[in-house]
Amino acid sequence: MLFSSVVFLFFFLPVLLTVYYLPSNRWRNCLFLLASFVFYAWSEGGYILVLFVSIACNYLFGLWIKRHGRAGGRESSRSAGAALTCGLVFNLGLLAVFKYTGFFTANLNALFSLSGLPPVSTGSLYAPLGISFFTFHAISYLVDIYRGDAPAQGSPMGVALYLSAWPKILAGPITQYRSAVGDLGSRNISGEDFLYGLERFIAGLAKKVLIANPLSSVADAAFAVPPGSLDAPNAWTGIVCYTLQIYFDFSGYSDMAVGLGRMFGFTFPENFNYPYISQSVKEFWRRWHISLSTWFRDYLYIPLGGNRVSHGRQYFNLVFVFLLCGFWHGASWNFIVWGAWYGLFLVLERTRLGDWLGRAWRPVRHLYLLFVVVAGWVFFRAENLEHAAAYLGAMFGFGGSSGSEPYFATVVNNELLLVVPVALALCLPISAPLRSLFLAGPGRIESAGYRTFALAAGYATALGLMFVLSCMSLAGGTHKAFIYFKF
Amino acid sequence: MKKLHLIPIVLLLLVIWLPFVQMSTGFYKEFDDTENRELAPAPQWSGSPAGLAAQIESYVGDHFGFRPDLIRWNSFLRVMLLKASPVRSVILGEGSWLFYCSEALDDGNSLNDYMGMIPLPESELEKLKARLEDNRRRFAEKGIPYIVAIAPNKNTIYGEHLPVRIRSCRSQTRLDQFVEYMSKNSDMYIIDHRNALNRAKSSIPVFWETDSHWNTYGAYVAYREIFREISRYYPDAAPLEISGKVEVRQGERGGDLAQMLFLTDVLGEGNNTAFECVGCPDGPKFQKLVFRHDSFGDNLYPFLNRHFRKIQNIAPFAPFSFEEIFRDPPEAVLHLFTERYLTQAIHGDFFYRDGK
Repeated sequence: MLFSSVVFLFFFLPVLLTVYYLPSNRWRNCLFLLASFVFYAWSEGGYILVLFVSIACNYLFGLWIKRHGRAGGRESSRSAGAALTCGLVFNLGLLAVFKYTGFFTANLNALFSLSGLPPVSTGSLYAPLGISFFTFHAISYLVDIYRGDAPAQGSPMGVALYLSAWPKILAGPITQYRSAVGDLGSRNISGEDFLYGLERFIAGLAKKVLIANPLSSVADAAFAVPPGSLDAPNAWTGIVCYTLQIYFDFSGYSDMAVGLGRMFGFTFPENFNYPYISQSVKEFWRRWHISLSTWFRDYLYIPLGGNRVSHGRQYFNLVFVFLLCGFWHGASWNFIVWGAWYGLFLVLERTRLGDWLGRAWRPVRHLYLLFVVVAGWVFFRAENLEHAAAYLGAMFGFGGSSGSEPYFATVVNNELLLVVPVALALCLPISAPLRSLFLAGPGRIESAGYRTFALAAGYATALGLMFVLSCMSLAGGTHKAFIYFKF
Repeated sequence: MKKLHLIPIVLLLLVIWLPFVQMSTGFYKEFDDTENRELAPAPQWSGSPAGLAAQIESYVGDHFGFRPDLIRWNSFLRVMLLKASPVRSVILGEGSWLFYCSEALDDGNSLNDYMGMIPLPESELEKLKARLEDNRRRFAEKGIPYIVAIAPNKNTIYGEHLPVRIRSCRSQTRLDQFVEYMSKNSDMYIIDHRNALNRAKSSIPVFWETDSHWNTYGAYVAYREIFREISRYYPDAAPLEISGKVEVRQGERGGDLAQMLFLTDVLGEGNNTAFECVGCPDGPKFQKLVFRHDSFGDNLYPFLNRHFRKIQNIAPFAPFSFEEIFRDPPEAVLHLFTERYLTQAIHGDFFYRDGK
């Protein structure tokens, strides 16, 4: 079930909002958890069992770690370490089996074919949606307990709530257990919080439906052009549209998740902070998918030594972490290369190149970052490495000289003339200043003055209009008219 | 919670509950139009929760409250303000012109063909030729003339009204290839309506603006071409002639393309043609015509009915049932199909995939 679907907006959400606030606090967690299971099972069906197994096992691992906690001395610490190791092996194993079996098998068979050995067959395994996210949540749970940063949950419900909370289970943000534990008990929700959540949800929905969706048609058209036919202008048009599409799609979804969480009393971390204004790859990864980069920093990079080791080891750690980051995004070589691409530039920025960049004119730094990011997205979006290489070649004049216009002719329209400038403008940090023009503070419309009230009412009306426009667009998406009657 | 905060919260609950309430009670009279398809049926338990969830999602997607009005407002906003079509299969041309992008629905080939993206290999052209010649042979064995006519896509005749980004990609089409191939490799005559329609359109419009089909005058032009071929076999037959002027009238309601946008009342039709025909003073001269056609053939009936007492309609994409036809042989077999169904119509299979 997607947040931008009719069944979510007009059935799941109203029912849940209504029943959630009816009973006392005590029952709210049960209701929320039940809703989370329904939300997950809606699209994943029987694969919810994978989630149940993860919840049950991580609950037990958590208790195991807690029992042999560090307070008990060296033996206890070793036992706790063993428990943590088992937990990590279980979680990573679960992820590897469901998400990466096909990748490993295909590559193994490629090696086997070179040496004349028969291929192995493992059948096709379906990777349940969100497995990458709830696995990382589970690892955070176990590690934070082990480190003593947060207590283990005494009942499976707390673990279940943490792992399966419906606003974040499918696509994050990844909340670290030590930050999230306070929300797992009872939550007090103020009107201000609720309204702020509503505001974020509407903004996120508009980003996804009104901006990302129209851009996707151009990006899809560009990546559908056969290799050798794509010319440079259209290649750049396609990848720029994709660069904007992926930002508004993902940040829009994150906004919706943060907003929905707030409406139910959960505080999720921010995931995006205007990444395209960055002037270095280092800065970019502090602004893009912040919860993921924070997770990798806290649970992989720092345990590997972080910045406290030799330069050579730091470089290795950076490349290694980003290789895994790329691999986490998708089980194919182009995602691994995407991760390595960033790892490489993070290393280069720690060398003289970084020093030079630091002294360079600001627009140069910005252009450098945009080039790295846009080129990186080619690997992310392409079908495979071959396709990515052909697309990059087309961007720099090594594709076709003509012949790709027809692929765009029926998808480029006047709507894009509006969407693209708006998207570019919203990549800049203008939302907060705009908002503060209308609102005295988050939801403080009762503070005083008709002018303040009028501005806030105007802001609310604009949000309402955005919501209606989004609903109209969603309805348009359900409209499948035929010219003759289809049976 | 402060009272002032309750206002937007209550408003939110009202707004998101409204579609469900409307779906259950129907208290509001929604905009009424058709998408030319059967909407998802009510969900039924089939033994699988995932299956039920998918059915509910489909049902809700097709039936949620205020859906037709939201679709219509979406269309209105995009078409009238942004000049952008919200429906991928409808292209907004210049002025009031709408065009059908059939491949968006896997419904034949129009604009991808117009832009030369799907040329036919020679092997396929040969298959098409062989199929038509075989039909001709089988009918000729019974002394029945087999007349083949191809109605052009609207964008073929009125390409100048397409958006410039599509117009500028104009290339050789499958119809161009096929007609050229037949003229070089076959003695079989194929009626290609393009020339006659292009000549006629200079004085009177031959296609509707908001519909994908030719208008009544365009159909008449096509009829004259067809009748010229019929009269080769029946020299005594005389065609219908237009008496008086052809009036071009503005209509209130748009055509099938406007309907796909849910805007038939907003996008009126400017190319309605009206005229009187005279001829066949003694009534129909012929007994029977077997007429295999798609929707472009509908507008030909008023003219053909004046010549044939009985017209047997055959489904456009089913092969000829020769035995059935020969049981009650007609004076002629007319096979009319639209350019976008070139391969499917000749092979008698809408899902024909070789030439796609």
